[in-house]
Amino acid sequence: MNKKIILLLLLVLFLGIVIIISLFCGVDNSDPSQAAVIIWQLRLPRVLLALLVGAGLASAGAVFQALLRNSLAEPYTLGVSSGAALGASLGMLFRLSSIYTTVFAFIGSLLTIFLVYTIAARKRFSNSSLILGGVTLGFLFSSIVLLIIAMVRQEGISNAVIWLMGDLSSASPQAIFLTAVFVSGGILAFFLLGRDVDLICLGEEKAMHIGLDVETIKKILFFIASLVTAACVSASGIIGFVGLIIPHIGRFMFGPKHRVLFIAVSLLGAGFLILCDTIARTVALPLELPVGVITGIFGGIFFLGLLIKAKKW
Amino acid sequence: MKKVIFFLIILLCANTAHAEYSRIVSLAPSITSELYDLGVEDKLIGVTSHCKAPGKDVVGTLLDINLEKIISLKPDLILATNEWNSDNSISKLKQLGLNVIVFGRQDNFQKVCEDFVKLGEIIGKKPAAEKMAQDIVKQANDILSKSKNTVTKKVLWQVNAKPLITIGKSALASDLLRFAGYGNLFLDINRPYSRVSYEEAVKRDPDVIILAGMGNVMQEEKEYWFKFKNVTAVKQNRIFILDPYKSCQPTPVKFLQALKEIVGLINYE
Amino acid sequence: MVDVKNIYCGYDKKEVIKGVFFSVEKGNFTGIIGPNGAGKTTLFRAMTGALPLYKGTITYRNNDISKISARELAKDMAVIPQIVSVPFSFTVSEFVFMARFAHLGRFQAPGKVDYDAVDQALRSAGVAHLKNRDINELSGGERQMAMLAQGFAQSPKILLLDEPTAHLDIKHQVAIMNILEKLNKERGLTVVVILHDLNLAAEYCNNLILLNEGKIHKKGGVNEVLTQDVIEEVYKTFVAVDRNPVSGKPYCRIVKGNPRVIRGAAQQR
Repeated sequence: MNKKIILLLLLVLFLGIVIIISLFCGVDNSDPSQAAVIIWQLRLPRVLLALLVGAGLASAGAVFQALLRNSLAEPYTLGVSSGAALGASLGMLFRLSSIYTTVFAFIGSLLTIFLVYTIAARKRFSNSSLILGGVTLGFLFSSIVLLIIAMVRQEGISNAVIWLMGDLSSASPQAIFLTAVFVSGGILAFFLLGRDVDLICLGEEKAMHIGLDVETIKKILFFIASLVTAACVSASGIIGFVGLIIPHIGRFMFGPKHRVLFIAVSLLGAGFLILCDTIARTVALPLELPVGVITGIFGGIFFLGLLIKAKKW
Repeated sequence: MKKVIFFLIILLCANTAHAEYSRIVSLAPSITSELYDLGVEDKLIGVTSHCKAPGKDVVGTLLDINLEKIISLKPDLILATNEWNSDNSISKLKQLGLNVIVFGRQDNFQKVCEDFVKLGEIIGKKPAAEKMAQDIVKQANDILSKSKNTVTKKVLWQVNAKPLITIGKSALASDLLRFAGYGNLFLDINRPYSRVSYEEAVKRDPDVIILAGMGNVMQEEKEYWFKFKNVTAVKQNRIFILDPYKSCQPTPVKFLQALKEIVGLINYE
Repeated sequence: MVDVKNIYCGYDKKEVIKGVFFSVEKGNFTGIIGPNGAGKTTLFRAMTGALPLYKGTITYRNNDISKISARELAKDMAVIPQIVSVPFSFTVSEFVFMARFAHLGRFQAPGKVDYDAVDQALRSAGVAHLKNRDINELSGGERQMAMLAQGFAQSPKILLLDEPTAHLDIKHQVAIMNILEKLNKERGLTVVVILHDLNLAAEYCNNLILLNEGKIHKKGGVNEVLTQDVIEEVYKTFVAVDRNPVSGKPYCRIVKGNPRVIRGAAQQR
């Protein structure tokens, strides 16, 4: 247990270092007022959002992997991101201002959550109904998004496509605040339900025999994890990989007990995404790359290395 | 009698030298616009949904061409462009034996004018096209020489907000700025369009910001820029919103129009 | 303790269990036996509350189990199914510790009682030396013992097991049954166990329920149920029922060959 605490403290240190580098490196101090603008007005919201979205997606990912008892599950499996993309695209189709994009995206995800919940509730919230309902809705909404992209007038690149690639720099302060509320509330709830999540891993019947009210807990977990995902995607577009791989790295380092795991993946996810965003911002100057590209490539290589070196798999 | 025959032969040759097309389909708004400029709109029988051509048949959107519709119109000339029309559609049209002429991307004013003259030649209006082009080039050069006296101001030309997308060297708008006597803030980027961070834009401190995008989004963006009080363009209140459809069509007439508008708008003197 | 009153249940609206009546008293060591497809696991799942009933009721201490919350029931009743798949690498002690869930309030930290229960359970099942191993890396026999430990750690008053000895070698089969017997005799743990091995059932259970085609064919003491005629009737197989020389309990010997000839030979003895 002591080893885990030390490791967690190291993670906190890692996160702190990453935040400092992201905020302060590469700023020319010869013009202090411009430097201040860059650090506080441009970088701080970005770092903050990356922290929230990284932690949110990573912990939601851990919840979905436990809920569906499948380590390939991730926050986007059950269609929430497709619903958000649909909402955002509709907002763009009607040429609404960008604040509404976030709102529309969130409404889109809420709609998806509601539909999947309703479908699954008819089958006692069985995993197969969740997966089938969620994946099917995901495909349906994604197809509609493609339709919209094809129809939207464009003189450059379609706004919808750009949104889909993920962007941590554009959220309004209100969106960041709401994301903070949902993500921190969500992670707290997950932590408190940590034991219940451990039990769910054993399968529905065994969990029931140990005393878990399985259907209720599954509904609660599904709902909260989906809300957290919805908030993240509405604020930042679709950033992949974090929700899938960070839980694996967390379990590799800390074991699968979820109370500890939720803290670990939140820290890991936050640090990872801040790092990726900084790389996206700086590696191809003056160009800026979409952050989802960096999470995929950087994360993929890192994880492959882990896979090859680790004896366990 | 010999004179008459001789005269008739010359007339015949002159006619076949530039084959007269009477059923033209245009697959790009800029080409449609140029056809109107050259006064041959009566020969135009098919346009895209984005073209400004009242009463003409629509054969598809900018990206998606309805091949069947084109065939049904029985065109004798199809004018396409590499910038928008897909290679697939173009090669299919050629395979069907239709007469397709493809124009490449124009990344500067000179090329725009050259292509305009080339178009004039194809439809048998070469002299008119040349004259128009020369006239416009002269006006553009006048503006260019006037502006050589001022210090070059840096302009951030934004085509998208959140994320910020700007133009590079090979965008036509970059050449437009050059003629107006301004410098593209991101001239070091080669590609026509690139995503950049707001931080980088702020660091380079533009003197002018041009927002060439969708209406109300750009209004919001203008207000967003007001937060960065250190940026020169903000301090001097030189943030302008331009209609993207007017601001950079690759036709000589529209280029000149846009050029005059920008010079008038920014009005450094 | 547990009363099964005329229950009908099954899957997809079909009846697998058709009218079953029996009681399990405190301190019983009850074996459920019967041929494949008789409905043993279905009956088991109904008793644990996992399968809803079409008709009839099952009560635990005179309370309808369908009305008892999972948490309340888990304080008294532990269930060990045939397979538990664990998708992640929990250690054996983490796995066993999960059984304390029902005894802990949501925000309550585990106390000495809980740690002691887990230690005891690990020792009783003989897996204390494996407590830091990954549960998915254990051998079949070790894993089964770990499952047993998890059941014990729940501090139940009644333990239900579905074929705990399936796929195990004779050492593990005997070890498991010995532990169950010890807990039954020394701690008064009520045990209900599905067994496929008639001889194990005979040795360890103090009463048997023989299920056939969804109904109870015979229930009662070991000597009553395990007779040659009953076994042949239900299993459609001839066995020679003998006495275990050490315990005196019935012992079924498999006999090859023509049943009539052998029956004749057996009757002559």
